[in-house]
Amino acid sequence: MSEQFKQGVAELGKQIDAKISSYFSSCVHCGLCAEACLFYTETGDPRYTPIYKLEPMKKLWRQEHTIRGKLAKMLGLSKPLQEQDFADWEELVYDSCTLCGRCSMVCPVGNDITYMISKEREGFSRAGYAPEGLKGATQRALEIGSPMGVTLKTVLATLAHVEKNTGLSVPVDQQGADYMTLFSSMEVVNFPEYIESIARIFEVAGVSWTISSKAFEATNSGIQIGNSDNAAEIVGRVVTAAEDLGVKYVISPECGHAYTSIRWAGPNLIGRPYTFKVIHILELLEQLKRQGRIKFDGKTGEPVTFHDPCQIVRRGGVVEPQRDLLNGVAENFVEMADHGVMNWCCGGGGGVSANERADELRSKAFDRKRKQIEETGVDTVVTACANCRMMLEDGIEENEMETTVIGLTELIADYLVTDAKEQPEVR
Amino acid sequence: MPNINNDTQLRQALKQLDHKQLRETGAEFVDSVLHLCSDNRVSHAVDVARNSNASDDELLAAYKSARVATVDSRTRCGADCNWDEQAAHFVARGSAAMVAPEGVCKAADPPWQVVMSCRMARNCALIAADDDSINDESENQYRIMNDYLNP
Repeated sequence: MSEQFKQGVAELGKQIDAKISSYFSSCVHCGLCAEACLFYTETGDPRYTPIYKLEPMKKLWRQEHTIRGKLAKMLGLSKPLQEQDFADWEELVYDSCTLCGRCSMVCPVGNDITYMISKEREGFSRAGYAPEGLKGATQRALEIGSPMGVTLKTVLATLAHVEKNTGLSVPVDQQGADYMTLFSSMEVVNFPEYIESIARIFEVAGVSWTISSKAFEATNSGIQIGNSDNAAEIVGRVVTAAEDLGVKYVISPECGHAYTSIRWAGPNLIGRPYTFKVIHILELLEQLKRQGRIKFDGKTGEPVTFHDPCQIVRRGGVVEPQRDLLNGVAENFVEMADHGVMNWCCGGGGGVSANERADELRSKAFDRKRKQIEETGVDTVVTACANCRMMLEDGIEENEMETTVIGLTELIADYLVTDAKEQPEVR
Repeated sequence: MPNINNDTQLRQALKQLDHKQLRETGAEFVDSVLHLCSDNRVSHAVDVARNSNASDDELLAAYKSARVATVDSRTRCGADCNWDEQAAHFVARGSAAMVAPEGVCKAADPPWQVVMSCRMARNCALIAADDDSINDESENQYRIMNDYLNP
């Protein structure tokens, strides 16, 4: 048994708090969580039942926290956890769980299974049983400041591109601005139009904003791999930057887990409340619309549907702003079945998209989303998460669907009324 | 035609063109950064866009191939970004918008997506080369448009 594995088991033991103990002891083995998990529903493989993914943690809990388990261990009737257990379960813990939270929603006794899997990942990652893609992403996030190796110099090059194209100035390190904006590396690398869109929207709305040269990255690989120390380090950089600049708000971008990381997990990770508030970009845009600071000219005539990113909607609690915004710019907004808090994941959250080993399984799991989209009869899917967008586009191409995916913030910017207006009519 | 030397003029000029002309100018824009992408599907899209006799079916097939090339070439979430490959991705994205039959590309402004994708491709190439010089692809595009309008 390696030293690293021992440390992993010790870490797993530390993660078994009162909540987890009560969850294990109250599980009624009903199997409802299976029907809520797209990895189970799309493969029919019972190994993908969410509660089953927790067997290693459950074994440790039984041996350490129940009388029967302690006795069995003492009498040699129950074996301690072996490296092979972690090796066998690594795929279940990382590849077949997007931390989407749907299983937690249906549990009849209220077990937050997603929370439990996050905690189980702490033990696995400490033991070294985590996907290589996530290990690399976390290392880059700590060393470079971005899981995708995006440096400040790269961000500034992208901002220069945005400034040139918009004729607007993108403020960096603006002391005393109201809002500090974060980006996900995906937006810098793949979707610079998001950055351009918020520059245009904020200009029109007169938002006082800035980007910090010390912390521009919103994503948090520490949360995905399950390493609280790393997650705290990454959150801490954002908090320090925001407090140094004296901003009132930090804006989480169109990225799902970035929002739950900075908005919900962050204060617990650093052990204190923030001196600023965190707001999701969709919440801010809806506020600006409500206050009349942004207006739209025309609407798209193309029927559209909306894919709810799990971490923003189900885990994050932002449900209505995107619908209000979408109704403002789309004449024919068609909801998917199970939309809102019960929507189905794209299949790539929770670090699954960064894990090449999981590609084949992810592709199978996408079938749920394919069916959902096809049922709407709509060819344009709007979403508000760069990762979801990539996963949707991958699945659409793979399934040869005639569907286009667009980001909501970009759609808003396309219909924005500006002074020098060259906005489209209904298309 | 007056000289084009800023984006407002470029946008206005693009708005005056019909779909066939947009394909022709788009092909020139993409061709200017085509050396950043070695994907045959992308160069084929440029060839199809340049062919004034291309049928709707040929355009659609080229568009679909270019779209697959776009998805294939981008950097996955959490992966260490290779900026050379990302430059190729943006060339592919521009080529898809360029060759799409009318009404097929759902971007708000497909001709402008061609313009912007080519600029991003150049930007990525500069980043990959650790080159601090200013991205002058926009000036190059003004020149291409001027040459097209004033042969």
